[in-house]
Amino acid sequence: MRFEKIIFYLKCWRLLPHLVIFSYYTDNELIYTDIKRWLQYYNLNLGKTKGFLYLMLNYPAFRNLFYYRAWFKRGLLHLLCPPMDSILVYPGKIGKGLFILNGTGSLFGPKSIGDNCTIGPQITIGYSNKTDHPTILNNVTVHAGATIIGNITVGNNSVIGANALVIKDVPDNCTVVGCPAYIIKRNGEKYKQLL
Amino acid sequence: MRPKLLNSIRAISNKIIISFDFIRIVPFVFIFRTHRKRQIIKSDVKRWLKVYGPNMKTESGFIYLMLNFKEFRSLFYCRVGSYGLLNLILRKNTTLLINTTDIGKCLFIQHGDLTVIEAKSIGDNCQINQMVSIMGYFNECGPTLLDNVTVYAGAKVMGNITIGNNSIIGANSSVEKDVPDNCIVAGVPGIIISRNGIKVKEPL
Repeated sequence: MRFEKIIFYLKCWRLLPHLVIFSYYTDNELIYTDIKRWLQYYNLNLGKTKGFLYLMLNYPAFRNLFYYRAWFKRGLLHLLCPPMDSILVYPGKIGKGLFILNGTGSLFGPKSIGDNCTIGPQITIGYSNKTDHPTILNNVTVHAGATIIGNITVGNNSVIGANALVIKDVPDNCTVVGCPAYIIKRNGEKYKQLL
Repeated sequence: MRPKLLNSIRAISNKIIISFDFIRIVPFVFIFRTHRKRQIIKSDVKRWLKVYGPNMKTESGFIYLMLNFKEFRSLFYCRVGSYGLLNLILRKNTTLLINTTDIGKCLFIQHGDLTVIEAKSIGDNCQINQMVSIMGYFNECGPTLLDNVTVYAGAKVMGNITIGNNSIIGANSSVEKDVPDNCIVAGVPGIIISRNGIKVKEPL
């Protein structure tokens, strides 16, 4: 255990500029709530700064999120701690507490994403035209491989299943599966309806 | 004159690259001969050589696969562990995440870009393609694959389920319930389209 601790602190030298930026952004709640959610998911009892260092070292999807929050698109920070190549994040509003699970091969091009959303790998939240962006409200979970395209809104607390294709509005508290997507659950009860 | 000169330069550079490769492959060959999991790695090499080089022997085939296929490297590091330094000598595929320790022999990954493998356990003789994600839902453990399962490109196998022997999961399908033996599953959400070689249509 002591050996692992020594290796952890030896690795941390390359995160010094990141730490400076992180401490400069103390007023910003966004990064703190992100770190809280990520640590909660992985069952880690760490403080804010140590948790930040641990997540930056071990989870490359978190690096992408941090660079997005801190507005660093390129430069020396990327060389020291390279982000995951296969995530593309376009500018748009992303609320606090976003959790990305192994975000390999995913594209984020939303108009806005609400608070406390959870998002899996291989996802596209993109646009069909240059002006059409989806808006996603609070507490939405999107499972692996789903695509959400066009000028639509996804309601609060709704779940989008794996490999679903969503091109129309989704109401609140629904789970949606299929290609093209249809509702199978509403307010916790079984229910079938086309979108 | 010119093409001759270019050809000679090309030949020399190839020779330099090959000699450099021979130097950097040395620690891997040492691990391949002495590691306690060497029988499993040999079985992997035999399975991969059926596709890529049918006339090679196992050790030369191991060198060929390590130098040319990033998917094989990340499978090798998953079996052995990268020790922090080996990953710097031969880079693994960064978009292929394998987080399972209990993998049977002869796993074949054909073009494993953008795949996530977080299963509870994987049996023998399985095959996994690109864009696949085998994992649990958020805060849940992953699926268990039994022997001779093949998962084709873009399929999603989610949740705490088991997939039976000899069954096939079709391209771009999503499976969230248990799959029995000898079945082919396709579609979103997945349905059984053949069982024991006979055409059927059953929901899972």
